[in-house]
Amino acid sequence: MNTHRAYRVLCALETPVIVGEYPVSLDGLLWDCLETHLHCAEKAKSELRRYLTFTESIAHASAMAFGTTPGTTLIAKSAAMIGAMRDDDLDEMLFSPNSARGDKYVRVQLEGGPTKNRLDQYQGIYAPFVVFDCMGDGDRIAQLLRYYLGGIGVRAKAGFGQIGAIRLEELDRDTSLLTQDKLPARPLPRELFESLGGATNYDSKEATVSVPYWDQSCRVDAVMPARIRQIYL
Amino acid sequence: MQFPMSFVFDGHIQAVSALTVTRPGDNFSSAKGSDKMGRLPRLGPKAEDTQIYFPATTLRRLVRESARDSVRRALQSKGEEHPFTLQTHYMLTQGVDITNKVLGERNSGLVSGGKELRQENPLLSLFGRWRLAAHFDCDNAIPSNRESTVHFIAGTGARQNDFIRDPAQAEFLSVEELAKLHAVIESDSLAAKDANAIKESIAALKKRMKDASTDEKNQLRDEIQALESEIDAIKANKVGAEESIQRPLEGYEAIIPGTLLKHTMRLRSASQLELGLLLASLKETARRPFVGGHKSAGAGEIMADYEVTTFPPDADKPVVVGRVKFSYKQGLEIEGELLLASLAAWQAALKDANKAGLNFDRYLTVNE
Repeated sequence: MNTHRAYRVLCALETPVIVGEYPVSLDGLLWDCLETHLHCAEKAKSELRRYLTFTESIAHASAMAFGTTPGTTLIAKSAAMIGAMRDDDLDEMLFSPNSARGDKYVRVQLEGGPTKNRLDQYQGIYAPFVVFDCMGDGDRIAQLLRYYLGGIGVRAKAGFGQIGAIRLEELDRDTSLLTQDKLPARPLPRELFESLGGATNYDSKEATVSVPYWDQSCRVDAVMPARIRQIYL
Repeated sequence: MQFPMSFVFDGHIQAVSALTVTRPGDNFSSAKGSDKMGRLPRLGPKAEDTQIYFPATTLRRLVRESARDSVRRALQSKGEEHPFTLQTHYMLTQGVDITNKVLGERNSGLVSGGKELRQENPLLSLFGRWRLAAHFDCDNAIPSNRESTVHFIAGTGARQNDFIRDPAQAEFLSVEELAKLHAVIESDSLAAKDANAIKESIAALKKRMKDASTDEKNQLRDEIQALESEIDAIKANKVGAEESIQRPLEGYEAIIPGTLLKHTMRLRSASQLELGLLLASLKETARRPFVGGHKSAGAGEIMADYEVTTFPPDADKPVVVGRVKFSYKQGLEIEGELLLASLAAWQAALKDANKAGLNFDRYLTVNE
């Protein structure tokens, strides 16, 4: 029995998300969770079809949008990360003599070069929710995300884009490929986008449209979702 | 159960003493303090009422450094006085490659690239480096009770000039040093008087800015900048330290001792040795469970309690494999056969690291 239905996945956002060149898509997140679950990228890819509906190789899983509620809005927020060696970290007890001959301790250059202290500033976006639309097995999707998903976006492992509670809302129609305004809700091959009723003059580019998104070897002519998309909840 | 396995450590951290951390860009001004007061990071907008949190990066570094220290101690106990070079030290502490060899590494298309490196150097596998994803994730710690304020302003008060607080100390100075002391105190006092007058003028100008037009605002900004330069000049011309010895201390925000913070750590597709190393790292953390700033004022002590679960691929839901707690007083406490066996396996491997195929100097996927 096909248990796939149209859902909106609402993830409460704890910390600002750093959005990469393109927003992350739900199938990418689920694939990553499945790889952690099954410890095999290929198995994760085939298992994804139990979670999401596919049209050819395209998952019915939208890219991330920011969800705002009445009285809230998107907030741009910067955050810093420091990668520094403190005095305690450069104690001679901790490593062998570092001169070229290896016979004595010499000053470590912290102001520049490969051993420099680093301060990285990131621009993030904060909203009450991040939202994904999908066609799939809602309960399975929610269970997997709740267990494995800690954060989303760039530098998620450093605490950006941390996710809190996740809930599902059933939708009357599938908006995982096209938004209600007929714009791309996720990376789509141009042909598919146009066959679904998308605008024929929409800008396209060479891009990966299925997992793994980091694999640049299977790029196609594709339309891409807006980097920052807001949904009023 | 068969490794690799993934685990979730879900529980809480408790602030035993006040917890604080200051990062560039987190400060802001409000009725409670200026933008020079050390502020805790906020989940949303930088404002008084926004929920504070304790950052993942600080907690992650504590565990990573503990892993490094526990490995170093084990190797030292085998007679190696300095088991790590500076290069290895940077790699294990921060995942930074000071040799630039990772940048030029030719590993494109390598089958199971990184697998051998992960086996030989589980510490790098756990915490990662550029182009080698970490198997260990750590969330920000967020107060469990979001309804009430869980932070306060610590460290407020005033820095005193010891010779004014206790004039008898002056008797221990030579005549020449006493003359210097007089000059410093006099200069501090005059400078403070001059600077205060200018600060009042700046405050008045800032007040006028609120209702000023754009052109007027630009003009007022220039005037404020000129006055601030005057304060800098007064400080530069002072005798003694540029900043007055006697000065109010604005303090810093800190999480109230006793506060519970929800915290989760994840271990992804890990080997048994990686799980064992993580537990050994937490054991090391328990020897020195201090994070953040102002440790000299007693701040930064934490204790933690996690339920550990795994989600076997053939199961319907996650299953509990044990519990891990650590504190300065009790050390590390572990419940659960799998967890105890993994820690023991790690400790056994470290007894003869070479025989176990461990190499903490290795950081390239393709062996040189």
